Amino acid sequence: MYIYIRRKLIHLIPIAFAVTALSFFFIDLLPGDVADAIAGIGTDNAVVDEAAVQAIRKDLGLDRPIVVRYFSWLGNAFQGELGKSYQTGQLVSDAIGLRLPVTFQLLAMAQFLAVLFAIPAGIIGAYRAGKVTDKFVTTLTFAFLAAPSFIIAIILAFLFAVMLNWFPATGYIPFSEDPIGNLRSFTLPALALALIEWPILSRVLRNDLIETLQEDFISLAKAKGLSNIYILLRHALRPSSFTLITIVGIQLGNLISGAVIVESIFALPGIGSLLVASIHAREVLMVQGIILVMAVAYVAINLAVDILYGALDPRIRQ
Amino acid sequence: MKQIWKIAILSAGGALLAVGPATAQSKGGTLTVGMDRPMTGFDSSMNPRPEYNRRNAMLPIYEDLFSTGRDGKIVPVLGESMKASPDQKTWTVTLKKGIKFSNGEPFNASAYVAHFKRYQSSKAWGFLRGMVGPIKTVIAKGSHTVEFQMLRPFPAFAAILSNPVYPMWANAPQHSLNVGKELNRQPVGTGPYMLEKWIPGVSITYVKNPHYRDPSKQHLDKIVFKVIKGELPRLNSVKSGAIDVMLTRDGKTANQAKQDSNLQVLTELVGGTTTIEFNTSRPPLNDVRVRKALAHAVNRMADLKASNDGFGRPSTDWFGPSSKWHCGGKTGYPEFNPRKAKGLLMAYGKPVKFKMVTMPIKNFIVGAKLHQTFWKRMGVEVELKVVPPGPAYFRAVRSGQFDAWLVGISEAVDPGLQAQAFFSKNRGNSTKSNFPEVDAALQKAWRSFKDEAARKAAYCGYVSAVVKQQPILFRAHNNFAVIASKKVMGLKKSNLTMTRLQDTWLAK
Repeated sequence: MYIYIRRKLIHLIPIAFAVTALSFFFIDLLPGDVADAIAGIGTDNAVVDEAAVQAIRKDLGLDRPIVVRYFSWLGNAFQGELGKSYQTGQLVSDAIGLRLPVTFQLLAMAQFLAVLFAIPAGIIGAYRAGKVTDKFVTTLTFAFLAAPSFIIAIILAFLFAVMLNWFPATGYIPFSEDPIGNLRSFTLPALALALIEWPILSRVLRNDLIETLQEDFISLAKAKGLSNIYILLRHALRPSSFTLITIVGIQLGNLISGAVIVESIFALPGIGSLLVASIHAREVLMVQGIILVMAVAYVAINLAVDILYGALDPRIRQ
Repeated sequence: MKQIWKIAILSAGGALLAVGPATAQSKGGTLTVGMDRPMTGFDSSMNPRPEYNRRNAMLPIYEDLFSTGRDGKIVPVLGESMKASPDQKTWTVTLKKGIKFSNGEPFNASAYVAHFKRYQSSKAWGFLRGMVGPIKTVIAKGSHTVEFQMLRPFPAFAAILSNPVYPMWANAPQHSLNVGKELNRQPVGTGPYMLEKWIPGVSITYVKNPHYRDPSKQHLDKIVFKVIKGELPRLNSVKSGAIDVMLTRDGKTANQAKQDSNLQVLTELVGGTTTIEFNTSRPPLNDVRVRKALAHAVNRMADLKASNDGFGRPSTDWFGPSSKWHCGGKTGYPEFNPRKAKGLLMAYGKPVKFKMVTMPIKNFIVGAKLHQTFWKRMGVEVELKVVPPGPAYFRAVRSGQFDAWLVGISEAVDPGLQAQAFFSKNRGNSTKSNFPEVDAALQKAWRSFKDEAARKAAYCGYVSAVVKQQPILFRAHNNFAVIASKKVMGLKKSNLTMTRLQDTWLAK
């Protein structure tokens, strides 16, 4: 397992290198840069003062060739220095450090809720395959699959925040300040993400369970007189959950993109909203830092999923 | 018995009236405000952007030298008096004594001069000068007397001194020296509140300034500005009580809020206007008949309705209807008349086809598509390109690739600071206007005037000259709205899209 983890970590180096290089070059292709914004360009009636823009660009080191800038950033990143925001002066590491826990909590809660909805729905669908209950669950899953996260988020905010006033419409309260308030502020965003996530998980689990329920050891369990619930939860669920776990891992990457929208709608100060704002503001160093963290997180999640496989199925460890 | 009841009711009413103001101006609490865009920094020499979220978020910690009362008279704030030289090239301001910055530093003439010296030596000065006028130098003429020397006669300076113009907001000089570039993150002003914490992109928290000269006006304990992107999330936040106030230019949001009896909506019909500008230097838009035809072809009420839910008014000049400079609709702006448009295009005699650029924001993209449709009915082909807002858009406009573009003319405190770019020699002349009549009209308006009515007539003459040549189509003066829950008391309508949230208090 140690060798396996080491190999995965070694893979991280080219991945991080590739994604940061690509993002650096793509951002550079966008028209306009942060020097324009600092000089006031981008506002009504602004006169483009090229001399001022060039001077700002030089001050920020943006006049150097892109390859030089990239390797300069990479060198600093290896030493743990991710730079500063050009406009606000905030350290990139500080900004990420502040926002990462928010996104982490959002994704964790969303994934927890998605699995919580998906497992019973998948079991019911498999157990009652082809029957009215299964068809109802299937229709429900397709309805949620078809709905974009921002629509769900807006509906949830309207229903549970504006109409019923059960949860706040926006805002973030740190767990350390008010644990209940924190959970309340995360409920709707996490639910918005979970509601688009659970249908996939539920469908995958249902299909795997249907296959598992055809296996001989299930027939044997039935012959023993074990109850259906016991067979489903104790004998069928575990061998049917491998694909589910894989999808949970893969979907975490997709959830990050959903989090960008949901974080904005619920004004959660997470990494997704920071990424979007930084791209708009051409804050290259901030974008680089976030992408690096995301790449590491993505590899780490997949590594965790692989380790979990091993725990669930000893054959993999061998 | 009836008489006793009457007396009792009248006495109770009287008592309520007597205690009314005292209970209304209750102390304490936190006012939470939703911002649409994050703060980019407090130091305008590093971040000069005049975007309204930023200006409103800076307002609680800074103060103007003067303000303008409802009667139009100048009200002293940090300044005591102002005086212009007869040629209006020198303006002398006497500052009030005994005022301190929030860190305890004294506010005096040398502090104000230091503030301007910092700005004048910064790379943003070229941009900031557009807002404060042709200041050559600022000199301390005594401990509390400041002299502004102008490059040319500048009657508009009275308006700049007496309105919320953010480059005039001073930071504590010694603190500015001590912290250097960090001033962008650590502002120190003279206003009733001071910065406690700024988490970029998330929130700004202000607390009471302990050195403020009038603690009775510091009703709130804290003011928190939170970044909540998007109109709907912010409106939902006000409705649900997650925030107390939001500011918006969006008509749909303001109209929705007006329907909610739990909210208060204060609307300002702002100056400035949304427009479409033309490159007048090349065919087909170098022909005034084509430009006039394009103006006649558009139903601007339909544009306003579609692009901003009717929240505003079609414009006939760039001075807002509530501005004293408004030309009263007498600028000769072309009316909606498709027949006239067709006639002008027939007289031109060639096919009209051009490229237009817009931003992917609702007001602009809907407006662009609507204009494209109206013009298509006249047989005019318009190729529309969408470019992201911000620097990229303005670079595209100035690239020369496009014949037309949507842009806004911002509200300004004085006509001398607004829409000067139709002057042929102006560096910002993106329409490539070169009309002697327009140049002459503007130069006439630049002269030194003793009489404000004559000055207004000169500026309206300039607008009319521009309209005659039509390098620009006016769309609408859009409204600006402050939406707040009913518990926010003392809220006043914005001025130049700036709202004095620091003067409000919360109902208990």
